[in-house]
Amino acid sequence: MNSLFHFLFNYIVVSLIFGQKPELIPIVAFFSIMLDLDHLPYVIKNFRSVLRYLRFGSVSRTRSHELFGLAIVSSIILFISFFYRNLIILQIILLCIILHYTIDFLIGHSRPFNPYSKQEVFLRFYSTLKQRVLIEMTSTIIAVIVFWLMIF
Amino acid sequence: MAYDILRKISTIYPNKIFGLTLVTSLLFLILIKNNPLLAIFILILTLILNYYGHILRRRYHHYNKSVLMCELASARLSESLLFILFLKPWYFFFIINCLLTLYTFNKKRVITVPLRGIFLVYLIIDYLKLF
Repeated sequence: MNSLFHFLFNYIVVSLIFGQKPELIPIVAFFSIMLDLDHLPYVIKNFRSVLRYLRFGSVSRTRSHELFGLAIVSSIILFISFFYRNLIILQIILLCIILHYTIDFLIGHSRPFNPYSKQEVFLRFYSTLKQRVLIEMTSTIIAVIVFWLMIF
Repeated sequence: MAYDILRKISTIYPNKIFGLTLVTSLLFLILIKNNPLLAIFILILTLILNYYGHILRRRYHHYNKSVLMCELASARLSESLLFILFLKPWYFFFIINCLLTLYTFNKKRVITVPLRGIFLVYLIIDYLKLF
């Protein structure tokens, strides 16, 4: 899923659970798209094919983008929670990261057991690239509208 | 008619059902603060869906490793969503379960703890104490 949708969807869910907190927008934005940074080396290396097909695929994801990464990130945040008093901020950060994993797992192809198995998992909610683009566009537009209504 | 519906349900690809458990887990997370009773029912629904997906996988996709991977990954993601508001000690159990799944994945038998079931019992006991 695209980074804009990740941020908007995460902010909507965070607002539904913890109440509206516009001051947290930068934190939500950063931790919503942080995981996608691991695409960068692949994009730089295969710039032409990415530009041509406009998709990365599960090959571009490192192990930090899969279950292994989830376990590591969760461990770090749990460790910090013993020292850092503001639990809500930690919960919001964790929620943003987990929602990123969840959305990518639901919509795209992933390799959840990456260092241990390279096999792909796909949930088959759509069957063609056209349908995927349509799902992505529609959901992003809906998220933009909901976000707009929430903020203004 | 009923037979047709049952036949159609039984041919659903299990990965879709596992994906649905993630949606219900998210619903649980949204509802737990404002309506705990409804959230508990949604957690029960999540467990039923997961069990149904598990049955379909065992019956029709027993040798498909990708479906097994989807079941395990969706279970861990669902746990991570459910336990966000109950960070200590549930997140500690989740991390142990996650590492256990990763470690035993290539072994003969995958070992996991049914954390969501235990969490449901904990929530019901906690809810009954409130009233």
